[in-house]
Amino acid sequence: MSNLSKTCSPEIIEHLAFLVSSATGCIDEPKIYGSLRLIDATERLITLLGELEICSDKRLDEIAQDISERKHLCMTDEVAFKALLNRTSEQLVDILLNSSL
Amino acid sequence: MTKHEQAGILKSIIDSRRSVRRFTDAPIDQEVLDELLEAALAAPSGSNIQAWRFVVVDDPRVIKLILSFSPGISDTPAAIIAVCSDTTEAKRLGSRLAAEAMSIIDASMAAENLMLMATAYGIGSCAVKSYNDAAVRKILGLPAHIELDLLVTLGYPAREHKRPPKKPASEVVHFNTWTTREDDDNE
Repeated sequence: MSNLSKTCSPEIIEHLAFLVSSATGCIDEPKIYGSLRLIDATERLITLLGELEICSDKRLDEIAQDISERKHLCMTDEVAFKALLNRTSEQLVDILLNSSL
Repeated sequence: MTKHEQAGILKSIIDSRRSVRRFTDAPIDQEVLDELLEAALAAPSGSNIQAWRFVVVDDPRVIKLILSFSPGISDTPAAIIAVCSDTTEAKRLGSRLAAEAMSIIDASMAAENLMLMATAYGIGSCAVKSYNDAAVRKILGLPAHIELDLLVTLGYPAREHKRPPKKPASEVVHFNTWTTREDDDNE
């Protein structure tokens, strides 16, 4: 374990609460809610990284915006929802290919 | 006003209700909240037991805490109403059926009244069951005999919402007896 003395901000604990609550709920919720929670967590994490000034990337902000506008399509248009997931995946590939990794 | 006109107004409210998930920052006046609650209390209740109980949350700090444990709420509403059932009261005045089934049916009807009245006031709402029950119960301080049935988020919509696809009556309605599509085709 590290020796960092900095405590975690409430926003990080809130994100952990979201993840644990999603894990709890997904046991009994419709199957597609698993994907919804994960893509929602992705959007929230991107937002959190910016709010906490850990890092920022315009391409990630665009991904977060896309998710925000389309994530609830899982309930009415599964084809469009899957397209969102695929598009997000492809955009992350592009970001990684263009990064120093 | 004729009955036809009354029905027309109610139909327009029913047809314009949406599950709203994006809200503006505008608060909801207490007088309006009181009207929404009066509508909820006017709902039908099996044997008139009225085991429903409501916790109205408009404190931003409590709303924020609930949101942390409610994956089904993706934006900050102006208020959240926790629709609950007093299972002890339901068993005392009714029966096991009242406690296990009727009370949640009553709570749902109350929630629908509440959401329709909200729609009439231009307020968006969403019935939410995707929350961490243990966590939200702790936040609200619910006693053990109070069952949390659902959360209703309330706020002024940040944008217009399209009507989701709805199944037509021909697919889900049967008259007098249940019929299968084969029976319908053979008539």
